[in-house]
Amino acid sequence: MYALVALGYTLVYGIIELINFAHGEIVTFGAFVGLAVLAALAGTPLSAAATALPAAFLVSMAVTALLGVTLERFAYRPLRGADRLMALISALGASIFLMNAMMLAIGRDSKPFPAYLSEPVLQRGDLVVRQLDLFLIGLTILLCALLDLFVRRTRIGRAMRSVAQDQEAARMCGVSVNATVSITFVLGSAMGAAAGILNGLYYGVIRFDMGFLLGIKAFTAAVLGGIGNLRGAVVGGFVLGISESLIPAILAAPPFSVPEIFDYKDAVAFGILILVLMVKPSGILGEEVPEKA
Amino acid sequence: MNGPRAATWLLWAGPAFVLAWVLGFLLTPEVRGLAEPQDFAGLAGLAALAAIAWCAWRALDRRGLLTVFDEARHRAPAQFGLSVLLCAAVFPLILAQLGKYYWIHVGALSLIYVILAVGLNLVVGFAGLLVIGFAAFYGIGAYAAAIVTTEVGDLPHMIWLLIPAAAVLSAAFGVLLGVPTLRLRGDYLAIVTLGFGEITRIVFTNWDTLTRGPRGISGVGSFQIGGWNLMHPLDVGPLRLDGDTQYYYLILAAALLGVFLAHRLNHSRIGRAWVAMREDELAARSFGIDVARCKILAFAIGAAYAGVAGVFFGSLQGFVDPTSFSFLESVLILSMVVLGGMGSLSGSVVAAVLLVILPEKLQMLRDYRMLIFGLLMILLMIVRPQGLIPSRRRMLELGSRPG
Amino acid sequence: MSAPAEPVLSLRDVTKHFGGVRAVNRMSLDVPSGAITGIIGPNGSGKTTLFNLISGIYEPQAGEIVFRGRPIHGEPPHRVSMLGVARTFQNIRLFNEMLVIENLLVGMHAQLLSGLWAAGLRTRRFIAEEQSALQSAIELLEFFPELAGTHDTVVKNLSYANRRRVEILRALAARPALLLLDEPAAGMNTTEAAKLLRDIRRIRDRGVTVLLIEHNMSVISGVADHVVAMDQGEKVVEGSFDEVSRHPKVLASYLGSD
Repeated sequence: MYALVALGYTLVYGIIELINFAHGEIVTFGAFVGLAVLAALAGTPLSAAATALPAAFLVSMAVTALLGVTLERFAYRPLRGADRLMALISALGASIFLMNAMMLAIGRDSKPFPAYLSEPVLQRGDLVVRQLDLFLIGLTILLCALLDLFVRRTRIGRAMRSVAQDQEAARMCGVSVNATVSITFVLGSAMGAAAGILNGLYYGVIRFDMGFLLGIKAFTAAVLGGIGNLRGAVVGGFVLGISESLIPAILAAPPFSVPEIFDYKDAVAFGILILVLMVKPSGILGEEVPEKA
Repeated sequence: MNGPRAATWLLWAGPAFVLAWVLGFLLTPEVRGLAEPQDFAGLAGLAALAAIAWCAWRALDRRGLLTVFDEARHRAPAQFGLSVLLCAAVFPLILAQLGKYYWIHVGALSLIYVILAVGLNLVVGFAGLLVIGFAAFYGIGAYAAAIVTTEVGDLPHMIWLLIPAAAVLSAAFGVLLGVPTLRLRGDYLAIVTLGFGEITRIVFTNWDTLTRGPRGISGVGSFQIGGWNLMHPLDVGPLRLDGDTQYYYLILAAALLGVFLAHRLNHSRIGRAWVAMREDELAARSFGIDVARCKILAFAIGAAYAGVAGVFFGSLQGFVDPTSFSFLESVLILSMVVLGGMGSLSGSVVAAVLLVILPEKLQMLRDYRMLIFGLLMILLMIVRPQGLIPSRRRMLELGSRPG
Repeated sequence: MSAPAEPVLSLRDVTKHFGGVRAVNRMSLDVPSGAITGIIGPNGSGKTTLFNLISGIYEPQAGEIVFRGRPIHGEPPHRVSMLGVARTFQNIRLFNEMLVIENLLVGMHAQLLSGLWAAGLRTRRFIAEEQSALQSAIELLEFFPELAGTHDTVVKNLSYANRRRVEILRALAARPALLLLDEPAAGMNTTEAAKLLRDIRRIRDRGVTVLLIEHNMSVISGVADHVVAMDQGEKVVEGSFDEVSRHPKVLASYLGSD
């Protein structure tokens, strides 16, 4: 799941070299749209998992993509080519704006997310594997693979990569930079929406500010995998997810025996982030880029 | 235009006008909703004030008085300083006469934000390092004051020592954050500082034995001189100065000193190195500027400002808890810097005061506060990235005028 | 060697690769003191990389760079600058939001000593130092009559040619022993360029050794005392302009491209 959110970051960063601070909020938005669809379908013949979930995913991904494009159009495009610092502040502003807009629209409380696919498929002692877990992993891998294929194989994907390399040159070759960046936001936001719904299904509740933490963690994953590198983001997502649950568990058990560590679970993610950025900013799969002089 | 004289006149009229405007603002009824007649009166008052400010600004701008003012300010900085000082000093006295004691407290708070905004501006505006978790340093200062005065015991004059101590402590954390992030690009730095801010908050919330967790620490010590506690009312002739008023003066002195030092730094080799580094890091490195040292210095000084502000905050409120140093607090301070204009010290001062007092009046918009800040950041970056009061690089004048 | 005096700067077998690309390969060079040395070569022949190696932006993978008898390879740029090497950039890199005079003052950064406390307290020494720095900056500005009256202009508002001039002055403000100029005449018209080359000779006459990159042969003909031709990261030939310009390899690469 971190992998999916991380994809959104990496995609946008790879193309326009801007951290989309608002991506976490995009994910949250996607989750709420998904929730709205599921709520609307509840009680109708379409409420079964086989129909309701695909509907929720499709609608949410479409609507969220629209939000992503709008965001890009208003908050980022006017600042393309301007100072990085300014674009960053605008992105931060967008994040704060969206977070608070959702808070005002939906309220401060957590909203319950309907449970789907909760039957266990495998049960051995404490270990329970639900359908949902398999679905989550499966869908993540599927979407990542599709995206990878899209970027590598299609004409638009090529355009995206060319814009990432050199906007000016791409424009000369007849690639519409605006359109390409928009498509990037469509893809990134749609992935974010899917991640938002999965997040809701997995934890059973969603909240207006869940994107904040999720966003930072996913960004960590993206950096971990080498930002701008799609496959790296997926690997980074899995690595972060696993280490986040393992590290506190290890520290709480002997020989460290600090059970208080669970209070600091979120701090661990930030700690990993800072550590990764310090030690290897290019990520585990990243390559060194020569400094432009 | 008979330049110099008109200009000197402006030096006194400007701050006096601002003072009158702020007082007018405070006297306008609060806007709590849109139901009572009082709300509409308040709204009308605010609109009128906004119009007055805008007209005054335009008039100054159109007649070229702004430049004259600017010139005069730099020709006679002492006079301008005196004029600002006088207006700022009279402010709480007038409020006390009017019985608006609460606003004195707000005034003192806004001065704390002046220190914060100026400190952050040194880092973001001058050195060009986007630090998002700035409230962490603020919190470190405040918690240091709270923990030491409650745990060690409130020795009479210890809190004075806490000011430099908190500055050093926060600066140390600034260096701690600065050193490993030296090689990071701007956007990574932003995220790391954000992470640092969150970690600090999580520690404040969870380190029960030291910070008492979410319950916070109350009974933070107050400033004393001899047997005179600044929190207790003081009679000066016919005037009775309450605790907030005395704190207001104390913090005013600190804020002025802070702005003054920042101004001097700005017009020195160090300030030039910061701006050069912001403009073109590679070129700066090629001209003998040790970029690493410059960045760490910026971090340390910015953090020290925040640490000092934290001590004042803790002591003024008498209470600290983690919510005062959240992500939103960092955003608020950053908004001040952005609104005032990055690299503009006077902008930071004005924006800090505005962003503290405006929401007090517009209670109706309270919930929308952060929403508006977010929108403000986007719009400012697109429409007016230089902020309310653009910074103007100008000649340093040390007696004689060059060429 | 045709070097008339002790070299200010010596390069021995300096090599820099980027991935598989050999940007500079086993380059050796002596820059004679008090003269103007021109480096010519087609685009991509490694001239700018060579400058980045000398000024410390890159660290060579092999070889050594000795400046006034002291090895400087591996030193960070600000150290190299303090030792007396100043430079300009091919695509002007000024501090655009700062005033012309401030750009020059930044150039003097290394000579000024006042620290934090001096600036905060505004000590007498600080004032004296700033004052004299300002004075020398103003004097320096007179070097180019075109820049008269621009001292408190923000750099980004200057014309292109004037920005080139300010960049050269910023480098001179550092009081270098060696000045590296990366295509100083690029983007100027013929008259301006000719004028600038005369100015560069004036710089040499002030006792500054100049190392100059130029890919236009005609520009360098009148100005360089000593010419080095590079191609594909290697030295092709060096000597006087006439010797170099008659060299078959140089002729080939220039006849081909011009």
